[in-house]
Amino acid sequence: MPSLPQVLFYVFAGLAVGGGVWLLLSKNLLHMAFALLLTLLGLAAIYVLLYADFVAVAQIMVYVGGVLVLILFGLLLSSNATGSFVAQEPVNRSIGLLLAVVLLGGGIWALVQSFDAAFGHYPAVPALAQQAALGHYTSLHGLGKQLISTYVLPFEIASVLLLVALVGAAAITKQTSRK
Amino acid sequence: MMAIPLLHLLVLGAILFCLGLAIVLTKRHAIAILMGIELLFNAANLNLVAFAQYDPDRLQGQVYSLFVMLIAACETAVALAIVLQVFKYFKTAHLQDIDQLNG
Repeated sequence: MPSLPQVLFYVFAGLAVGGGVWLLLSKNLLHMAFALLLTLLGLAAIYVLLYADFVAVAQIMVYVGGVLVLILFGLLLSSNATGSFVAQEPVNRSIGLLLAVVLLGGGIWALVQSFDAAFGHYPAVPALAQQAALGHYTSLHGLGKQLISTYVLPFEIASVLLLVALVGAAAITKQTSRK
Repeated sequence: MMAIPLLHLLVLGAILFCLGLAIVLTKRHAIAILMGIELLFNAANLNLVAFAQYDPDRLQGQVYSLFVMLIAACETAVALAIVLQVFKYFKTAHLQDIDQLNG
């Protein structure tokens, strides 16, 4: 009898994979953006089930609130009036799908073959789940401490990178509109 | 208490990765390919968060996944700016039609 987190995991995994398949099969760019939304939300729910609450919230804020909105704006600005939204016949269809299916089959086969040897010694109940079972658990304390101690240099570099990307994106967009 | 099996998480990551790869390889529009790349990032993130469960003190996987999200946001912003410029210049965002360098 599977427990509630397991059932929820399979539901949200189905949502994420369904969104991915829709993304692959859809020819309409706007539908593709909605399919990506499904996948991102399903993954955010799975992160909650994996005791990564902050990562789940960041996933929703950054991906759904930031990246996806940016992609929708990009679609809006890069579509001409003749409706390039729908003219999306795939290219390299056979070779691309073949490569992906071969990689998927090989990857799952390798995972199943080597899983016990590589991860068999892992505890059946993860350490994070054991901590969470003791009471109210949040990953915020651990993440906060890590980000201002061990990872303080990458954190600062990341902030500079964000600024550079922001300025760079603005500069690239401005360049030819001046001509 | 039953935990989510690690193998199923890894298989889900593999499925999402291959879907993303198929999208990157088969779509025409530059923004559709960007969406496929986002899917690839998310598949990698899922593995990182799954393994962070076994690392409660340091949470390295979760920290790394946060940095991956940040890089993805930067990448999308710059890539979309480039796509918009390409669209302005070539009047198309279909990567197959942009073949000026293809002698």
